[in-house]
Amino acid sequence: MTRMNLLVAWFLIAAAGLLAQTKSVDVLKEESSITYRMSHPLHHIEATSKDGWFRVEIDPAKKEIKSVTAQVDVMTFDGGNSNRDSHAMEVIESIKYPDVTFASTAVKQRADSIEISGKLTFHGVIQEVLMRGVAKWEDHKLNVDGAFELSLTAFKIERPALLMVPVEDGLKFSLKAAFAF
Amino acid sequence: MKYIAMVAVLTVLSIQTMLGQDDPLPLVPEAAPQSNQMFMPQLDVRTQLVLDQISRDQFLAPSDSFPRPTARKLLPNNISWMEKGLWGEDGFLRTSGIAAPLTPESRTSELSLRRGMLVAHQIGGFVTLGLMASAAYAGQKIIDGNSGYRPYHQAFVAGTIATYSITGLLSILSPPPVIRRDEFSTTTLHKTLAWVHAAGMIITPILGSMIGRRSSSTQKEHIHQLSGYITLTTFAASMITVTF
Repeated sequence: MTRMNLLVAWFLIAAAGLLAQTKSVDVLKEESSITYRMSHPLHHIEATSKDGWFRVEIDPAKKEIKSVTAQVDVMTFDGGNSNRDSHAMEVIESIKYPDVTFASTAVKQRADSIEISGKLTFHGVIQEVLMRGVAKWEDHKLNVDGAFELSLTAFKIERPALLMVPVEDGLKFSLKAAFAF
Repeated sequence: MKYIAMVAVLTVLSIQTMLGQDDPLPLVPEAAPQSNQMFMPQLDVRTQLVLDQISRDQFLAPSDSFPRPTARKLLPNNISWMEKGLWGEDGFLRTSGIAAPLTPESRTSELSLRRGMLVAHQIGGFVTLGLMASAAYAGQKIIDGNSGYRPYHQAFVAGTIATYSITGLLSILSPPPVIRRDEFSTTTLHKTLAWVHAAGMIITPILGSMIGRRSSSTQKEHIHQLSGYITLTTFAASMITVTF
């Protein structure tokens, strides 16, 4: 009888585990973008990529994000001035390091607020970054708005200069990502 | 007892199969078996994710999780005829052996060279602006009757022509950028104004050389003066545009 109880318990645990399984969902590119913002004493520079690849592991039943991976081709950032964008590509050595990648190591959620920490690979350097944002769940859709900042010098990037004056060290990113599941 | 265990196992397997049908990622990647392929263990998606997590924990880039980078073009599509003639795949600098064949490594070096040339272009622009303004000031003094400024004017003009030419060549001869889109930007305006001040830099000295030292050449002086001021203004404007 004890054996049978154990077997039934095992069966229930296994079934519950399967029902709670996560889903892997890719981003809806047409509704998603990532923008960086650089500051220079003369003006601010913004460039946006609408061609980023993001994938989330989610538990739709619990409305939880389990993990995030992302990859963006640095050449897809468009700031409306190809000369300036080209200058940015030169300093980040886009031929040698064509992509920025991110892999989450921890995801914290409290109501709509979300904190995703992970390893960002940029310019061949891996650094820990923390993204704070908002995750809004709909019936079969997840919208994430977030922002994070990184230091150019921490990623061994020579700060681009205009008229011999370099930009500020902080590079601010904001992103919008939509996922349908 | 055996029957209960069998039923439990079958139920778990059937639930797994049902859930697997809706999952966008198959648990086992579908791949046609190849007779000449060495044995490779097929990993389900969850195992792969666990392995990726382990590789992340070991501070390694989980390259297998990401899409492969697309092949990158080393030169933009819309390069000018000058850039193509000099820096194209079969450009003069490559065929003559001055520049290395077009490879990712050579392009990286060329972009570094381009950055150096464009920084020098900016410095040259400031030097030229200073010399050009000085030449205009000295020229105005001559028109106002201070003929003692003539040697200074001529020296400043010579300096302006030299630095202007070097500054222009640093931009024209620099290797092409990695990105060039069809767009209107402040750089487009900078380059458009360059055509105007380049014309001014040709016309103004010619007009200056036509001015005699007699008072009858007043009209020529004024045309030279006007041309000089237009050149100075457009040159300064072309510098200001790149700051926006």
